[in-house]
Amino acid sequence: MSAKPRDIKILVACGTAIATATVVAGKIKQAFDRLKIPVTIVQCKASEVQGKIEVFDPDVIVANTPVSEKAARGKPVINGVPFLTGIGEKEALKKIFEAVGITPPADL
Amino acid sequence: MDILVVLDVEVSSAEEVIRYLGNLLQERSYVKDTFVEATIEREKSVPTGLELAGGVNAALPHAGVEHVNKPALAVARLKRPVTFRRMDDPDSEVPVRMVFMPAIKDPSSYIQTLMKLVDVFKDPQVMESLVKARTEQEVEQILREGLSTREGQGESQEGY
Repeated sequence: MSAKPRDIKILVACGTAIATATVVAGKIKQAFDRLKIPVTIVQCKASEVQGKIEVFDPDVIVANTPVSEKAARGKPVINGVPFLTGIGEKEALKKIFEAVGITPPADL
Repeated sequence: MDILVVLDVEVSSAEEVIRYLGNLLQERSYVKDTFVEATIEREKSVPTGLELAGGVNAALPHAGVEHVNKPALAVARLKRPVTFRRMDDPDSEVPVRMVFMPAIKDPSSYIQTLMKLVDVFKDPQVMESLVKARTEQEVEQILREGLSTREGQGESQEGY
């Protein structure tokens, strides 16, 4: 069993924050809902990441388009495109769980 | 939602197919006259090419809600693939056969459609059936089935 979760915060970034970020945020939410783990997901444009980090302070950034290390300010950045293509989706989800300090469930 | 399908479009670049589908949407008043250029610009800064598991790759060019009048999905199957830059790695490219251009007016109501469209992307058999379909109607029917019944339906989506 996973440890009792704290307030998990994920920032999802894409080009315009209207389409692909929304889909990726939805897919991540589904995965957390399935495990009944509360999560707060905020979407933004890739260009807004740096500013969003200051106000939202996410545990992890999931980005569909590359985000620079400088913009990420030391936060882990995980590629969100697997949630759109299915290729490497479980691995990406596993990385997200690990980045927020949750043991990934075996039946991911 | 309205789905516009065109089959075996002959184009030689990503920009050309974006113009083709964008004009189709504009002629039918789904999008404003700013949509095509906005989509081309967006594609330059944030490309949408996706490499998929079955080898039939897709792209999802789109523009902001301010360029849209009413929601639709325009779909082009290309006679020969054109090169799109990859969303996750804009420095590399992917040959794309299926181009999906969503006209999004209200992201919160469009999200179910997009999430199911992504489930279509993830299913190589469905992508293959889109390539093999003989008529526009057949493609539309496959997509309508995909967009209405696939995994994800009925699950909680509050906030998205």
